[in-house]
Amino acid sequence: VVASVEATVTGFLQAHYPDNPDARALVQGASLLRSGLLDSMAAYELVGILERRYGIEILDAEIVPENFDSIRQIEGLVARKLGDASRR
Amino acid sequence: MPVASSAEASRPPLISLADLVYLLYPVLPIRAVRALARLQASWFRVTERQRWRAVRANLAAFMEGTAGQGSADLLTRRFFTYRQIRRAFIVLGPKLDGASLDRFFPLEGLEHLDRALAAERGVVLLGSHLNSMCGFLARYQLQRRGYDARLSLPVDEPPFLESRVRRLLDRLAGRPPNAIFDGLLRIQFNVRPLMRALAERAAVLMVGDGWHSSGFVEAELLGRRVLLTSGPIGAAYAAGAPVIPLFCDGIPGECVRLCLEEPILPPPGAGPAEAVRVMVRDFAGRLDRRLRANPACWEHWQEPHALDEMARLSDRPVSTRYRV
Repeated sequence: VVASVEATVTGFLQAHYPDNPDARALVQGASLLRSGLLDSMAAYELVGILERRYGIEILDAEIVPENFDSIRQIEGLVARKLGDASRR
Repeated sequence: MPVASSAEASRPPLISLADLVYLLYPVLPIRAVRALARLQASWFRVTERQRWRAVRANLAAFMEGTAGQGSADLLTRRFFTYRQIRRAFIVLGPKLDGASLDRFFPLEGLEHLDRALAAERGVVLLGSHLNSMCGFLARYQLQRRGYDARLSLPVDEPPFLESRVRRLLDRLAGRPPNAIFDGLLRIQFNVRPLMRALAERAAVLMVGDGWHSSGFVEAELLGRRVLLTSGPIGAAYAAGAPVIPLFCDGIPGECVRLCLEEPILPPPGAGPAEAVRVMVRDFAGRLDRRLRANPACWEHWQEPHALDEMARLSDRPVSTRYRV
């Protein structure tokens, strides 16, 4: 799942910013917000993609910079949501 | 919009000076509120010395070459006086009847909103920090005319929570506590509540010169290159919702006109990023004209080196960028 989330996020950002070298050279811990790659509208779209692809529901309270500033944080969020779903 | 932090807001004080105004209005006339605000402004010169200096330095820099030092002092005093009057109106808001709202906060340009809503979409009413707190009263003015007007703030809890004494007074008068913040939309980073509200054809009041944002556009404001948030306009563009500027223009305590302007339109043929850039710069131009006509009423002046800070907003670390 972790590899899949990384591919989903990088694919999304590269599609959004095809000419941006930062989007092509993403590393897991890099700040997506500081680099300007992920603003609130991009986060809104990405949340929709993650929800559909992984069958999870991301709550409004979870759409915070702390969960979306890097690929690693997004992976962590998805993993937590999948873990919550499997425990139910 | 300058607001208290959530932690601060969650501890309402026992009593505040505003309670006196709340209790005595309308027996206490507005001219007395203005006089009280002027007294408070003098007091702040001593008790909020650093903020006073920041405001004065900002205003002196803004007026550089066009006015003397005395003008900066005068505008600084007015800044603090008007700030207190705005705060008094926030407190008085739930007590104001229609006639008082129309007297102190007349609405202009409703035809722009009607035309926009006729397209069966929601609308972003894009305000600013020019008398920004009067936006709370703008929502009242729109709601009493039947519009689904909603207010957005970048904080979880309402700023300026009522004191415990005022809550008691509200309860005795049969008013809900903190009524002015009813239905608050919490929008910061997460724009989903905004997109939902626009899908429900609401008119959502936001500010276009806020500092807490993930995306910015370079624009000219007061002769400087600054960064303005792309959030409200970007979300409206994505939702296909019109953007109508709403400026609170005038002197608090006398008359603050709530001016709805012609919509900000995307340029034909532009892609999303370019369209948002052009629209933000259009808003900046309109804000610039309003600020130059009414310089003592921009709430950002209380931030040290306000325009310099606005040029560096994207440099703020993520850990503090969203902290209000």
